[in-house]
Amino acid sequence: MSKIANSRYQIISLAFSAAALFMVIQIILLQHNPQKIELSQDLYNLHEYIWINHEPERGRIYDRNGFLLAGSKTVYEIGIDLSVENRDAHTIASVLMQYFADEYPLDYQQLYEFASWPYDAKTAVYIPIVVLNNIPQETINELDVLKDAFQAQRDTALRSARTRKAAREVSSLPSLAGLTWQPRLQRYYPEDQLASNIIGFTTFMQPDNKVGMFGLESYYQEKLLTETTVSYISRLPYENKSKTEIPLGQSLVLTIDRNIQEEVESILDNAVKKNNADSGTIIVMNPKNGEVIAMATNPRMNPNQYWNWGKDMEGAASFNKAIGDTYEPGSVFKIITMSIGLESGAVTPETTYEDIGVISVGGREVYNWNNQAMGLMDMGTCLRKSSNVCLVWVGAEKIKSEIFYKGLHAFGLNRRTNIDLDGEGLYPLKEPGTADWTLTDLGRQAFGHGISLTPIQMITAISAVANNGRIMAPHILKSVVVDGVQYDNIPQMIGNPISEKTAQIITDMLIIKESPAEVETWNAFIPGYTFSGKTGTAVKVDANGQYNDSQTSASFVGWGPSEDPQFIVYVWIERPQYETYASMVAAPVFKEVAEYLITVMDIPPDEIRLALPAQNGGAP
Amino acid sequence: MIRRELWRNFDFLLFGSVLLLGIVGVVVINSAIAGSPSLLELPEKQAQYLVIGLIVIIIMSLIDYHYLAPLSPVMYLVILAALVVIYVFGETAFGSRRWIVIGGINVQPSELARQVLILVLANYFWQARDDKKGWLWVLKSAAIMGVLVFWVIIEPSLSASIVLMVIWFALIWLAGLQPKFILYFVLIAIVIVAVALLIPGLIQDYQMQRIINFISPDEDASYGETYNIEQALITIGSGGWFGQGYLQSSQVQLRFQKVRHTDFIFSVVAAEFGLLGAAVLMGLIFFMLWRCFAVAKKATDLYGALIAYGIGVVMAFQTVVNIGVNVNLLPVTGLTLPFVSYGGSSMLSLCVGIGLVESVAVHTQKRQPAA
Repeated sequence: MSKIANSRYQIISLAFSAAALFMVIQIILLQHNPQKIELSQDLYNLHEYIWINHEPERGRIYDRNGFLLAGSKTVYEIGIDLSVENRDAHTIASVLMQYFADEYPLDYQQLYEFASWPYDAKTAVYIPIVVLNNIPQETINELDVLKDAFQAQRDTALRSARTRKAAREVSSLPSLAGLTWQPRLQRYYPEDQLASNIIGFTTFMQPDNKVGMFGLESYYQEKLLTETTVSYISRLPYENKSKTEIPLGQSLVLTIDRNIQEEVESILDNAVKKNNADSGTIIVMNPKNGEVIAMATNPRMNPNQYWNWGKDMEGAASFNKAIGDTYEPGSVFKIITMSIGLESGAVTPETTYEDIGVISVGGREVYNWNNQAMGLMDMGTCLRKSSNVCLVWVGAEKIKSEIFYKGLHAFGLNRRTNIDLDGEGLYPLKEPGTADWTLTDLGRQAFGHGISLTPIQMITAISAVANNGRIMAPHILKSVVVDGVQYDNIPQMIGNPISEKTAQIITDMLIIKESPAEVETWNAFIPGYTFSGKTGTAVKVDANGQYNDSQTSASFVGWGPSEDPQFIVYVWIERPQYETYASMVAAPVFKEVAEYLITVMDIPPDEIRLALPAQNGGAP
Repeated sequence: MIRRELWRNFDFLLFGSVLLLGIVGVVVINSAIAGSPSLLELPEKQAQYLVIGLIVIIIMSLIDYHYLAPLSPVMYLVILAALVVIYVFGETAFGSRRWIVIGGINVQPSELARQVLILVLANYFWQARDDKKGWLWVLKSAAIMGVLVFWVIIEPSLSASIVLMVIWFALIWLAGLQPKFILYFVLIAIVIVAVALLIPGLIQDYQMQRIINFISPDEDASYGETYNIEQALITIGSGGWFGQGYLQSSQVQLRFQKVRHTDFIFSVVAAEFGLLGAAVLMGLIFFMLWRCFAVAKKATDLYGALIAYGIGVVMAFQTVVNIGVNVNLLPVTGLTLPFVSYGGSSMLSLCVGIGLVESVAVHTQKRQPAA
C-alpha cells in the first residue's frame, strides 16, 4: 500500500468532479440561454450567405435593320495580386508608368509602394490601380505578351543555372508576376457620335455609379438595366436552395435607320457649316405610323467620350435639339392655322382676301415679311406666298379664339408628344385664360410667332396633314427583346384634328412647283416628283430682347409623295449667317434629304407611280 | 514468466480507454477539418500518432519505473537544457518559442516537462518521505519545479507553466503537505500576481488581453479577441441534447469555429453529438482518470503512487481547463483535450505518461512478495 492518506485522494477527486459538474451545467445553460441562441442565429444569418455582385450586360441598342448602335466591350481593371511572392515592384511600377503615365495620373513611387505591399490574408490580398480600370483589350494583350516574355526569360535562365548563385540571380531578372487584370463589360457605342442625340450615354467610366443619361439610355434605363445586382448564395453545401440570378438587360430595336440617320446627319452638318449657323436639326418620320426614321442634331457629342460632352455641345440649349429646344416656328405654323380654318369651315379654299400689306389685330399692326401688299388671293395662294396679313385675318377674324385654341389642342400643341426619349421640352401655350393673353397674341400665333414649340411637336402636328388627318404617336422604339423574345411596339393614333379632305386640300395647296413665281419653295423642288412643303422664317429675339431681322430660325416642313406621303421631313437651321430666309437655307436641305430618301426607299417618279393602277386607294 | 505476469497486471481498461479516446479524436478531427485543404491529412496523421503512442505505452509499461528513479536527475537536466536551447535558438512559431524540430517533428519540451517533473518530484518526495515536512521540504520541491517553470514562462507559455505548478501542488499535497501551507501559498500567489502585473513584459499583451476579455468581454469585438470563444459558445449552443449529427454542424462545416481540431475540439463534439455526446466523452475521460488513480492507489510504494497520481492529475487538469475554455468558464489557454485534440507532440507526451502509469500497474504486484 502506498503511504498516501485516502482523504487526500478524495479531496482532489472531489475537486475535479465538481469542476466536471460545472462544465455540464454550463453546457446545458449555453444550449438553453435565449440570448446565446439569438446571438447564434444572428451570426449564422450573417455568414449563411455569400454576397456576390453582378454587373450584367446592359441591353443592346440596334437600328431597325439590326445594326448595333450601343453594345458592350470587354475592358480590364489592372491591379496587384499581393498573394504572389517576390514581386518585382520596380518592373511593375516602371512598366505601368511606361504604358499609362501619358494618359493617366500615375506616380512611380505610389505604384512601387502598391507593388511591394505585403500580403495579409485578412486585410490586403489585392490592390486595384483605381485609375486603370478601363484598359482596352489591345493594351492588355501587349502587357500579357510582355509578362509571358519576362517569365520565359526567367524560366530559361533557371533551367540553365548550374550553381546556387546563378539560380539566385534569376530573381534579379525583370518580372511582372503579381500584375493582374480583371475583365468587365463596358458600354460601347460602335458608331461613336452617330445618333448620339437619340441614344444618350451611360457613365460607364464609374463602375460603381453607372447612370443612363439623356435619350434612350435614360428613358429606357429600367429596360436596359445594368445596376449591379447582388445575389445571395447559401454557404451550406447541403442547402443549395438559392441560385444566382443575373438579370439580362433588354435590348432595344429602334425605328431609326442607321444609314438614313448617317446621311441626314451629314446633310445637316454640311448645311450648318455652309450657312455658318449656330445649330440645326432634321427629323424624318413616317407619318403613317409615327416611326422616327432619322433624327439628326448639330452639334452632337461622342458617347464613347461622354466626359467631353459639355465641350462638344458648347452653346447647345439642350442635349437633343429636335425634342428639347422650343422656338417660334414662324410660317411653317401657317399650315396649322389654315387647317383649323378649313376644318372648321371658317374659310374654304375658294375664300379670297385682299392683302393690303397691314392688318390691325387687338390694337396692333402686323405686316408681311417683305412689308409689301400681296393683293387679292385665295387661301392656297395666301399659304404659298406666306402672307402674314392673310393668316392673321383667317385666324383672328374668321376662325376666332375659341375654335383656334380648340384646334391647337387637337393638334397637340399645348402638350408634349411623349416621344420615348428623355428630355422633351415644353413651353406653355399662351391662350385665353393664361396671363396677359390678348387678341394680338392669337394674331401673331396664326403665323407662327408668340408661340414656342419643339420640332417634334411641329412635325407630329403637321404629320396629320400627311396622314389623312390622323396623328400617330411619334416613337423611337420599334421593338424590345426580352429574354430572346421580340415584342413589337404597336403604333398608336393620338389625335385626329382634321378630316381626310382637309388634309388633302392642304397637301395640294402646298405642292412644290418648279416655278420662279413660287419663291418660297422652288429651292425644294425635286424633278419628277410631287412633294408638298412649307417654309418658315422666324425672326429671333437677340441678346437685347429685341426682334432682330438678321437672326432667324429657318424651318422647312415637307412630305410626299403628295398623293400618298411616305415620309415627312422637318428642318430647322438656327441663326444662319449668310442667307437668313428659310427658302434659301432650309428648303435646299429638305430637297437633299428627300432626294436621298427617294433613292434609298426606292420611290418611283410620278410618271411611273401614277401610271400604276391605284393601290390601297391611296392615289387620287 | 515475465510476459505472462506483465499481461496479468497490465491495466487493460486504462489502455482500452486511451484507445477509445484516441479513436474518438480521429473521428472528430475528421469532421473538424471541414474539408479545409490545408488540414485534409490531419485525421490520418492523428491515427498514426495514436498507433505510435499505443506502442510507446506498451514499451514504457515493460520498463520498471524504479529504474527511472536514478535517471530522473539526468532527465531533468536534459529537459531543462532543451527549454534553454529552445528559448535561445528556438523557432519562433505563433509568437512563442515552444517547438523544437527533431527529425522533422515539432517537439514541445514544455509538454514532456510535465512527465519529467512528475518523475523528479515523485522521486524527491519518495526519497524524502521520512523528512520533516516543513519549509525546507516545501522549498526544495518548489525549487525543482520553479527552475522549469521559469524557462517555460519566458517561452512564453503561461498555461504550460501553470500545469507544472499544478503538478507540484498535487504531488506535494499527496506527499503530505500540512494544510496551513495552503494559506501561505495563497498569500505568496497574491504577491506574485501583483508583482507580475506591475513588471511590464512579464505577462505578454495577448495573455493580458485574454484575461481581460474573459473577465469583461468586449461586446463589439465579434471578430477580434473574443471571436474563438464566441464561436465556441455558438457551436456548443447549436448542439442541443443530441447534436446536429456527425459532419452536419454548420458552425463547424462552414469553418466559423477556428482551431476546431485542437483547442476547440470539444465544441465540435458538443455541436455534432449534443450534450449527450459531450457527456459520454467526459465520462470516457473520467473513466481513464479513474483507472490512473486506481493504479496509484494499488501502488506498493509512494514513488509509484505519486507517478500514477501525478499523471492522472495532469490529464484531469488539462481536461478541466480545456473544456472550461470551451464553455467559457476559463480564459483561453493553449491546453489540449487529452488524446482527442489533434497534435503529435501532445499525443506522444500523454502516451509516455500513460506508459508510466502502466509501468506502475505492471510492476506493483511483482514487488509485493519481496516486501
